[in-house]
Amino acid sequence: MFVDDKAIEFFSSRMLLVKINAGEDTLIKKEYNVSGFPTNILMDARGNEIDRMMGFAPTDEYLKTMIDYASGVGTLDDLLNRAKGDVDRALYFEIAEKYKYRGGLEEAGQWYEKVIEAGDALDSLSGRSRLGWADMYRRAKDYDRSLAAFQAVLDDFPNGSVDQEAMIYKAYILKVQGNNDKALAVLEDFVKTYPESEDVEWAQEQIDKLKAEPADDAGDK
Amino acid sequence: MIRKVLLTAAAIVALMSAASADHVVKDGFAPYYTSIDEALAAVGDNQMVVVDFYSNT
Repeated sequence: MFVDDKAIEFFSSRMLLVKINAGEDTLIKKEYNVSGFPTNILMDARGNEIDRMMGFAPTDEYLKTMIDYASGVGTLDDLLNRAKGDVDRALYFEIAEKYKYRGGLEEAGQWYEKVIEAGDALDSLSGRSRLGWADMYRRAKDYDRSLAAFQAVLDDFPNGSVDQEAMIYKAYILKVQGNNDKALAVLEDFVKTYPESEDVEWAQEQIDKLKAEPADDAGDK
Repeated sequence: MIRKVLLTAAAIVALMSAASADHVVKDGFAPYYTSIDEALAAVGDNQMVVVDFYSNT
């Protein structure tokens, strides 16, 4: 992205770019509540966060988001103002996600709850909120709580995209906890249940890696 | 003589590069800082700072 001519021009004039290898500098990662990569934080000239963008995006989309944020469009403050109007569950969800990525767990939890309370507790948006909630604990490295939350999602939302995502996360957490046998079982179940999923290739890679690793000695966690 | 001047110029450029190690300018890549404080100190009127937190691991 940063090799694109538009990005080069943008960061040569309109904004200054800072690149931080937060995989190595874990202190700064903690200071700015960075829980995933890449995270791009827009700051004003005093270093105050205006907003942040998670994950990769095409150059045009990335630059537009930064320009919008700089003019106060789509920022957390903007969304909070808009939420003062009529009930808008999609907007509540967006706010919850923003808080989650900033490490504001309490606020994120409150907005996810508003999404669920304002509609059908078992519809897709409620399911995505429950996923977000569980992911919030994963990002905070509270793996036991996260695992329980993902399991509850699996129980309440069998089949479909919410279920698929919860399975992937469950396997990931089990692996992080050293429960390779259980992680393997979840991944194999995933591949069998959702052979058409776009995540199958990734899941199969993980299965192959787990099978190549030495036997699991972590026991039941 | 010309060679000496060129060598001196190269040495000066090298020293300048070392003095601005926090600001990296490479052909074909967006210029960037490696320190948030340095970028905030250099930020101009109507400019903002974007910090890209990445990981190679």
